[in-house]
Amino acid sequence: MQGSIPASLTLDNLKLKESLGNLITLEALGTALKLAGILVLGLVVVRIAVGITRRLTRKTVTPRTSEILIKLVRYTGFFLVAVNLANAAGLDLSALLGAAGIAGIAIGFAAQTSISNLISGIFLLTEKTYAVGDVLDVGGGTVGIVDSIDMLSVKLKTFDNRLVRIPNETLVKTNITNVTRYPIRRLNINISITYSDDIEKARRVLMETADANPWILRSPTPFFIVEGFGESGVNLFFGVWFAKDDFVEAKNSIHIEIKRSFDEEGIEFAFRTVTVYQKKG
Amino acid sequence: MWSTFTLSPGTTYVARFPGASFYFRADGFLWGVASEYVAKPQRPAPAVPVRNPPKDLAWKYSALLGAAELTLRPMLSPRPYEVQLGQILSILPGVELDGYIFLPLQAEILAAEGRVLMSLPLGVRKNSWFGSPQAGILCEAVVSSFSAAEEVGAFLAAPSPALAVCPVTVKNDMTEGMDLSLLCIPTDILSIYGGEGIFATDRVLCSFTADGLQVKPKRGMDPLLGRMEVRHAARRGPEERFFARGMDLLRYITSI
Repeated sequence: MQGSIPASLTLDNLKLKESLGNLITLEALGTALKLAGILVLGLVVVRIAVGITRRLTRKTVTPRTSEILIKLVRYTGFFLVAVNLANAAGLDLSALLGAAGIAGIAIGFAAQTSISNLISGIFLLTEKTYAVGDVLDVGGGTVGIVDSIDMLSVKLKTFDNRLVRIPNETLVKTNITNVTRYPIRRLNINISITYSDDIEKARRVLMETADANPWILRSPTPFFIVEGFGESGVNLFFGVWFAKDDFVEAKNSIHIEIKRSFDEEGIEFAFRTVTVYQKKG
Repeated sequence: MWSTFTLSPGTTYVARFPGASFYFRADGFLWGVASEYVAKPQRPAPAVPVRNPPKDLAWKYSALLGAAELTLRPMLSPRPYEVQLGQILSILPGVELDGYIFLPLQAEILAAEGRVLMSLPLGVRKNSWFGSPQAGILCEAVVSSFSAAEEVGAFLAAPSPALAVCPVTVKNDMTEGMDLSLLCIPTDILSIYGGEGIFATDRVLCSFTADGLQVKPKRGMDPLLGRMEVRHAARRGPEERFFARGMDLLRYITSI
C-alpha cells in the first residue's frame, strides 16, 4: 500500500507538518516567555510596592496597621498579576469574572463568619485599642501578650506559653482590657487589720513602706482608703503606682515589705475567726 | 570616688562614694564589677586595692577590650529628674527667681580608649511619674532645697562627690501667681562641669506659661561656681544643632 502514495504528496505532508510544528512551538514559546515576563515583573513590582508601603507606614502608623496595609498591598498585587497572566494566556476574563461573581455570592453565604471577622478586624483596626506586644485580658478569662494581628483573628501568647487564637468577631463583642496600654499602673492591695489595731498607724506604716520601696513611684502618690468594717476586721485599700515594666518586682517586693513592716510594728492581719463559748454545768 | 586606675589581675579594687561602694577586678580577659549600697553615708575614697571584699557581692563580668585601665566619670541620670522642692515657692506673675538645686550623680565607667562600659547609680534610686497617668514621663525622684546664692556657700565649702549643683531660673510668664513645689529637669541637655571637688551643671531656665512649662539650658558656668572644666558634655538637641550650624554658616558667609 505504501508504494501507491505519490512521493511528492508525502514530501509535502511532511513539510506542512514540520512548519506547523515549528509555528506551534514558536507561539507557545512566545506565550510562555510573555507569561514568565509578566510573572517576574509583576512579582518584582509587588515586592517594591510592599517595600514602599513598609517604609511609609513604619513611623506613621502602628505596627498592627502597617502589617495589615502591607498584606492588603501584597494580595492586591498578587491578584493583579494573576489577572494579567490570565489575560496574556488568552483566557476570557469576562466569563471568568461572571463565574467569579456567582461563585462570590455562594462563597459569601458560606463564608459569613470569615467576612464578619474581616469587617470586625477593620473596626478594631480603626479603634486602635491594642498593638502587638500589649498584654490583653479578653473577657476576663484569657490573658496574654498580643503575638500577631491578622485579618481574621488575633493571636495571644499566654504566660504559660500557649497560643490562643481569638476571632476578631469575638473581640468586637467582648470586653477587652489592655493591661499595658499606659506606661504606669496601679497595684491594688486589699488589707484587713484587726479591730484592736490603730488605723492611723497602719496608714502611716503603709505610706512609709511604699516610700522606701524603689519600685513604687513617688508620684502619683499612693492611695489609701478605709473601705469599711468587715466581718473579721477593718478593710483597707492601698493603691500604689509602678512603671508597667516593673510589675513583678513591684508586686513581690511591696507585699513582702508590707508583711514585714506590719510584723515589726505589731499590726495584725485580720482573718476569719470563730469564737466558741462553752456553757458551764 | 572619681578616679582612673589600672586593674591588676587577681586584685580587687574598691571606689567609695557616700552612698555606695563599687568593687572591680580583672579575671583573664574579663573584668568584673559589683556594687554595694549603704544606708549610712560613708567617707568617699578613690579606687584602691582591697584585701577582703564582702563575700556576698553579685559580680557582673564583661569582656575587657584593650588595656585594663578604668575611669570613673560623673554623669547625670539618663532619666529626667523630678525634683520635689523642700518648700513651696509662691511666685508672682512676671517674677524671675534664681536659685540652686542639688542633683544626684551617677558613675560612668570608661575603658582606656574612652569607651563607655556601663553606668551605676551612686545610691538607691526611686522613680516618679511627671504628668498624667496616661501621658507623662518616667523620672528619677529627687528631693532638694531651692537654695539662694548665699546658701550655696555651705555646700561649696564641703562638697559631696555624689551631687551636682544645678543653677535654676524659674520665670512665671503667666498672668496669675503660682505655687512651685515640683520641677522636671531633663538631663541630656545639661553638661557637667567639675573642679576642686565641686560638680555643677549648666543653668536651667524654666518658664511657666499659660501653655505649659518650657525648659531650656543656658550654656556655660555659673559665675558663683567659678571656672571649671567640662566633665560630661550635653547631648545637643536637633534644634540646637540646627541653630549652631546656621550660625556657623552665617559666620562663614559674613566672615565675622
